[in-house]
Amino acid sequence: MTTNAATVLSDQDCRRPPSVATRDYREILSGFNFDQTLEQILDRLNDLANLSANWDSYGAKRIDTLCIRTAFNVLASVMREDTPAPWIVPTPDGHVQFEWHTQGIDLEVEVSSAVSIHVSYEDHWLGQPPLEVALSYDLSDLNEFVGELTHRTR
Amino acid sequence: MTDRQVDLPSFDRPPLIETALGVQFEPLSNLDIPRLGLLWQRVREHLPVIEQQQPLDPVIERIGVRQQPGAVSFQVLQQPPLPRCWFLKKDGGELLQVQQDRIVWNWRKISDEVVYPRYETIRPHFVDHFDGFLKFIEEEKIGDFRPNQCEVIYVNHIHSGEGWETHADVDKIFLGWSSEYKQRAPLELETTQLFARHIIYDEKREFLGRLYLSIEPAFQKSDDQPMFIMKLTARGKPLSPDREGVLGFIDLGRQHIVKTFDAVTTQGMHNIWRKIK
Repeated sequence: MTTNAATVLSDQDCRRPPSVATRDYREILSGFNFDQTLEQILDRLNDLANLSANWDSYGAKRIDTLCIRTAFNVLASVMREDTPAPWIVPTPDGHVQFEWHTQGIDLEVEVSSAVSIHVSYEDHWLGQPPLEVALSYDLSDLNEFVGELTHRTR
Repeated sequence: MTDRQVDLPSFDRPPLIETALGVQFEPLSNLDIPRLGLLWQRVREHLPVIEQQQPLDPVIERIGVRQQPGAVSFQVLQQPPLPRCWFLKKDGGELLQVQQDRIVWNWRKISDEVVYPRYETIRPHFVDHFDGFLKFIEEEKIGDFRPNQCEVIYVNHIHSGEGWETHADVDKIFLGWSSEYKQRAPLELETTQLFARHIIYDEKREFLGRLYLSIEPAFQKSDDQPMFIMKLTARGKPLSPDREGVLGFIDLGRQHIVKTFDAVTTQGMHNIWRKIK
């Protein structure tokens, strides 16, 4: 649950017994054996956040912080413990794209806002035509694509 | 919406202590500190007290994923974060919270004498501030309003001495916890903390968002007596990406909160809270 307790003020009117509910993010990550991959992703996203305007010398925009944040949240939601780390690249519009090209699968995901996630998926092994899907609140398709990709890399 | 839905439960003495109605939107980068000051000028007659707080993290309810994001909080700071501004009524009973990507209006019960004014009374206050905000960002050319999440929060303080005595008595408040547990567990129960998460769908069974229910043990600061904090939060996407869609989800979220509160609490507590219908 992500409701920020600070949205409401009435928590100030009482005291709570000591809680063990709070966990350091490293403990959460290590519980998934996920920590190294996510740290790689964090490092890469940090690189994108530090890009200046015109980073490509053709007038590219600075990378939108909300896109960076959304990209991380989406990856943390759909990646399994053994999903390989994606390539993460900036786009000239200031968006974030992450992609995998492995085991016959081309999966590209462009995050252009908190609720605008464009997915391109092609499975060369099955010879299916490429799929283009525009996602917002429902990430089921992306979850399925990442699941298949992960399965093939095991 | 002006009249109470006839099929919604109602209580004469609800344990409600605070409500918050809010909307999150694509960040307005031009809503900077000077412009937040301009906004305050428009509301300061009614909300004369101003404070600054850390901004709230953005949150989106999604479906189709294996785990909810937010377990790891991630911030990107290309510059110092702009504050969340609180515009408060002098007595603290009403609060308008504004940051670059969110506006929230809170009602608080600031004393025992204050009676919950009912949703039908507080909703127009939120709508006034919401409409005022939309007018402000249009007139000051701050940017386009693109809502992506709405939120309704109801916080209840359930005090001991009326229907229950200790934190081991949660079964006297909440139907989701069986009294058998206390009887069958080999050790004395000291306290319980409960959490439930529900999915909100629209009429076409499409995902809208979630309703969260939490029951936490706590102690009153005034006299250290046990109490439970029961918090219900409905969060999800606007029914349409505009003002009407925002209000639509907020009304819907509130309905689900009221029905859930009624459905999961005991008859004994309903009698104490004087359920009307």
